[in-house]
Amino acid sequence: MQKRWTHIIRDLPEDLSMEILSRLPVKSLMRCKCISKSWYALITNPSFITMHLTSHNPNRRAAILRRGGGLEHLRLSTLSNETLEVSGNVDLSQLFLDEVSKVSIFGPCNGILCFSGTLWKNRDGHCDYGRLVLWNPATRESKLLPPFPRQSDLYFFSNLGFGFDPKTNDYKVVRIMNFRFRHCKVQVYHLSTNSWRVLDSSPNPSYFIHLPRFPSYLNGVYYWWARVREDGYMGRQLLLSFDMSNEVFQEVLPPPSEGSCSEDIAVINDSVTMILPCNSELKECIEIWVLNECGVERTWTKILTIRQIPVFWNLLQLREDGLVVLTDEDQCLVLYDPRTQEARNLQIYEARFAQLVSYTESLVRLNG
Amino acid sequence: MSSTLCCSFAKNVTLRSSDGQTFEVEEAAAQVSQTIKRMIEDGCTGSVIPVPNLTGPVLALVIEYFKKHSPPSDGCPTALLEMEIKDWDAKFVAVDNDTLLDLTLAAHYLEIQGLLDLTCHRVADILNDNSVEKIREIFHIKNDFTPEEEAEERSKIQWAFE
Repeated sequence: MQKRWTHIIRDLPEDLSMEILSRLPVKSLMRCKCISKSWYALITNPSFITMHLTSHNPNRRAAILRRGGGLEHLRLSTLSNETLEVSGNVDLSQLFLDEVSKVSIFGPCNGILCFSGTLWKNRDGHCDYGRLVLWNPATRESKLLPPFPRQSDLYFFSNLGFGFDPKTNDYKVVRIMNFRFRHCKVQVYHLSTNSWRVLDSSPNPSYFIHLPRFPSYLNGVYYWWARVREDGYMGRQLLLSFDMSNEVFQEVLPPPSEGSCSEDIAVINDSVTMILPCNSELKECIEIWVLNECGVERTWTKILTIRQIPVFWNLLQLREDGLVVLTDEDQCLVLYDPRTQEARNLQIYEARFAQLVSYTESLVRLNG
Repeated sequence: MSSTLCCSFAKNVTLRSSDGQTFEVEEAAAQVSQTIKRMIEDGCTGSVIPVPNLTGPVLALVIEYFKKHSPPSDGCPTALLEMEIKDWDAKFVAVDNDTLLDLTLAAHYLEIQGLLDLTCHRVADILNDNSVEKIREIFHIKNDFTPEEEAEERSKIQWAFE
C-alpha cells in the first residue's frame, strides 16, 4: 500500500493506525477528519471505509423507526438499538426535498437505507409519483435518486429491492414492474453511474411479490416472498431472490408448510428466515424457520416458536438477541421475550403499520 | 508432551533491547510473543535474543506483560484468574500516551495479539473521548488545514461536535 497517510498517529505504521481508527464509531471519525489533512484522507479513503465496515463493533448498532405508513402523519425516529429509546427525529421532507407520503424502508445494506416515498406534485393529489432516497443515517448523507424512467403503460404494480454488488463495489436498486400479470419489466439503478438501466431478465409475471416489511438483503442477494397467480387465484408460494452481481432472479424454495397467506421473510443474524403465523385457541403464535444452504441444497429448519401472542398484536422486528418487537392492540411498541413470554411496553405509540430497522453504522459515501 | 513440559520448565531466555539492556525471562512466558516463539523454535535460545525495536524501559514493561500472561502451569485458567488478568490489563495500559504508543508498537513488532488488542482499544478510547484540539496535542499532530478549510469542514458536520 502506498504511504499516503504516514504519521497518522506518531510513528505507528499505517496499517496499525487504520486498525485503531476502524474501532471508532462513525460520529468520532467524522470529527477526526478535522484533525489534519492526512487524517481526512485516510478516513475518506474507500479501503479504510471498507475496513471500518467489516470490523466488528457491537456499539455501532442503531435503529430507525418509521411510523405512519399511508396517509397518517409520517414520522421517522432514530433509536438506540440497545435500549430502543428514541434519540431523535428526522425530517423526511429534507431527504426527499419535498412533502412525502407512503414511505417504506428497504435495507439496510452496509449501513445504508433506501426509502421509497410518494411526492405530491400538485396539491390536488392527482399527480403523485414515486421517488427514492438513499440515506446513511450515521454520516447524515443522503442522495435523491433520479426519477424512474417513464412508462407508457401505467397499469402496473411495482416492488423494490436494495443491495450491494460485491463484484463491482456498487450499490443497486432493483425495481420490478408487473403489468396485469401479463409481463414484467425490471429496471436497475446503479449508484456508480447514478442512472437507471432496463434489465433483460425478469421474474415470471404470474408472481405476486409481497412488499418486504422486514430487512431482506443478505450477502449480495435480495429476497422477496411471492405467490403464484394461477387461473386467477393465488396459488403456491415461493422465496424469490435477486443476485445483485449477476442481476439474475431465482426461485429459491417453497415454504416449509402451506399455511395462511400472511407469511413473510426477514434477514436476521446473517440468515434468511421465514415467518409463519399460526393460530391456536385465540392466541397467536409465530413460527420462525431459518434457511440453510449446504452447497446447492437448501432446506428450512424451525428455530423458534413465539407463543401466546394476544390477538391483534403484530410482529414488527426480529432481534439479534432472540427477542422480538410487537405492536399491541393500542399500536404501542412492546418488547417481547419468546422464552419467558415477558412483555415490556416501550412507551412508543402510534406505531400502526410501522417499520423498525436495526443497522450497523458505516462511513459508506453516497455522493462520490 | 510430558517430556516437552519437563524440559521447558523454568528454562530461561535472555532478551536484549535496542540500547543494550538484557533481561532474563522464562522461555514459556516469552513465547506469548509469536515473534520470539519463532526465534526460539529456530534455535536462537543458545545466545541472547535481540529485540532491536524496543528500548530497555519498554522491553521491561513487555516482560511484565509476558509474566502475567504466560500459560498457567496447571492447565486451564479459571474464571477468577481471567477476571484478575482483565483488571491487571486495564491498569497496565493506564500509562502516559507516549508509553502507550511504545507498547502498541512493541505488541505489533513482537506479535502479541492480546497486548495489541488492549493497546489499540485504549488508543481508540482516547480518540473517542477527546476533542480535535486535544487529540492534536496528545499525539503531537500538526494541523495543516488553513483556518478557512477547517471552518468549512466543521460547518458541514456541525452535528458531530454536539
